[in-house]
Amino acid sequence: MILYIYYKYMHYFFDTDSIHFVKEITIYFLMLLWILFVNPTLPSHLESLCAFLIIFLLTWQYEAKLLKKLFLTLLIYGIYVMCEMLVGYLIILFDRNMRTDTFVTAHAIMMLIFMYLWEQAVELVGEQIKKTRRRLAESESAKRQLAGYSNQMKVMKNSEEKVRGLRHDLKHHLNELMLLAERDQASEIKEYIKHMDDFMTYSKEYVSSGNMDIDSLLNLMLDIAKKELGDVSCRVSIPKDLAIEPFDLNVILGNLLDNAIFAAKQTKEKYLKVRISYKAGMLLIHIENSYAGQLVKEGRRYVTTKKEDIAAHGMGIENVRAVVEKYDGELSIKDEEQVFQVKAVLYAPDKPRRISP
Amino acid sequence: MYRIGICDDEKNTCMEIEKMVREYAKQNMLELETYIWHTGEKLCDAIGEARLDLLFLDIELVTTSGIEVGRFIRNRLENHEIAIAYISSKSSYAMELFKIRPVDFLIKPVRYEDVAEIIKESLKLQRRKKQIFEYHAKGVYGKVQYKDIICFSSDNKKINIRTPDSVIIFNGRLRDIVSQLPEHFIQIHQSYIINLDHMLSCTYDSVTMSGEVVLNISQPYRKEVRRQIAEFNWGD
Repeated sequence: MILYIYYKYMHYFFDTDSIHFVKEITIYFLMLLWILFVNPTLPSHLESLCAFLIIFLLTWQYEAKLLKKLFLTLLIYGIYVMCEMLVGYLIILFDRNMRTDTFVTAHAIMMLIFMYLWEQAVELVGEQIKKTRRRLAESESAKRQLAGYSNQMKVMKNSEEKVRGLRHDLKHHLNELMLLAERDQASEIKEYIKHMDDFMTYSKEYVSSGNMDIDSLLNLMLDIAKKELGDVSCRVSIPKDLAIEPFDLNVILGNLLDNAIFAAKQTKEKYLKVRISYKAGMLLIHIENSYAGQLVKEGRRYVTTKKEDIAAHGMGIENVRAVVEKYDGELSIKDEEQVFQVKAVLYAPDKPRRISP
Repeated sequence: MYRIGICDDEKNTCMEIEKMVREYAKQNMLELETYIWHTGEKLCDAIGEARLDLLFLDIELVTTSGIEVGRFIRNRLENHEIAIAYISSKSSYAMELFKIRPVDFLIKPVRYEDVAEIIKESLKLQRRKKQIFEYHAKGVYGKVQYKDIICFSSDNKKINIRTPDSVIIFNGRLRDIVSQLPEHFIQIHQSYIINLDHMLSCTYDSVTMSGEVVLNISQPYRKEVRRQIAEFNWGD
């Protein structure tokens, strides 16, 4: 029983996806044998030391930093000792002259109950913290969405104004072109048309997929990227009526691009490539960027090295993962030869199930 | 010989693309032929015999639109092999276009790099499709082009290869062939291996293949299938 409680602790605090189930069970079983057969032979003052050792040994099979393991061991052990004291106190309070065997049973049962309650309490608090963090991230993402929309409004207004301006002067332009044509000046005509084209396209509209949500976010992020980076390319070919909630897309693209731009900024190449396409009912997102130096990897997770916001430490990718999982999708992260590559797949079948925010 | 078709009602766009295609052929020592049409109707009439490998197709054709032509090719002629690259002056696309499974989209004004990229990608795709799967089993020997394999399925120590118009059966076990297959074949079930080139749509627990064959992705394979699909190079 007590081992099961330890097990719950471990699974709550460590990344347990990579662990092999059979191996894990074997280790717990060995510990069980230890508790059943070795513990009773030891003098009672060594018992609590043993508990400490067992917990510490159990932490070894999981991938984590030593400090974290030690800290968790101390936490569980602390709770263990506290429960022990509490139980001892309660027993003395109720009945001083208890028989030894009833004492042992009562002690064991109460220990278990207290340990279990504590474990639940720890999980509850943890959940609450997670929730708060998520809410924080959500509001962050909503803010970005809003900024995206207002940027998109500006982009659309500007590009509309440019077209209107061109139309206004159309007669004048046609006259000019006619004059050039009469004089057979082909290269000048080309030059002139190129000028008109440049004038017409608003330079800050990088993406126009017709999908307002993707466009607004990408135009905002790419504008930042162009300012900070050198080699930026982006291609988006997706259906304009895609069945993915704008909020979720925002979390995914916003976080991934944030990270990519931040990392690429610190490199010589300053390279960012964004490809978004739609194949066989799936939305495929592919983002590549140059990065310098080492990535901190904890287990299977990448921990961001951004210093400015410690509160959101490593939360970006975790939020992306959560959204991707909501669509039963997959997120794959690779780093090869100073290029960081993120590929995400979301299942988005073509029946619109879009809910407006 | 590589056969490329171009269909756009703007004659200049056709010429422009043809020039770029020829330029690419010259640079890459590629032997090719080009065919040009200016309306969807003419294209539909001729396409049966043209045996094209790649078609650049305008979406906004006046009378018969690019979507209708695409549907004609895929649904009526049941030709899933022509790589279709849509041309458009807009970069926003209707969902209907994606059902025709285009390799890519080209935006006007057309740039050489994009045309080159599309040809390169479709050549790669074609090479992959023309590779041949061979099987030997107890005196039986046979071969099939990978492009014709929709999926492998197994029952009772027999492997069935489903192709668009037949089922080939030979003795063997999936686990013996899975390692020799190229990476666009993935196992989704103890008894199914599918060809991603024939996958029409996909959700986390099932896939729809050409010929409207629906297969389940079994629980133990789901995570791995998702990973393989995510990491697969779908072509940019």
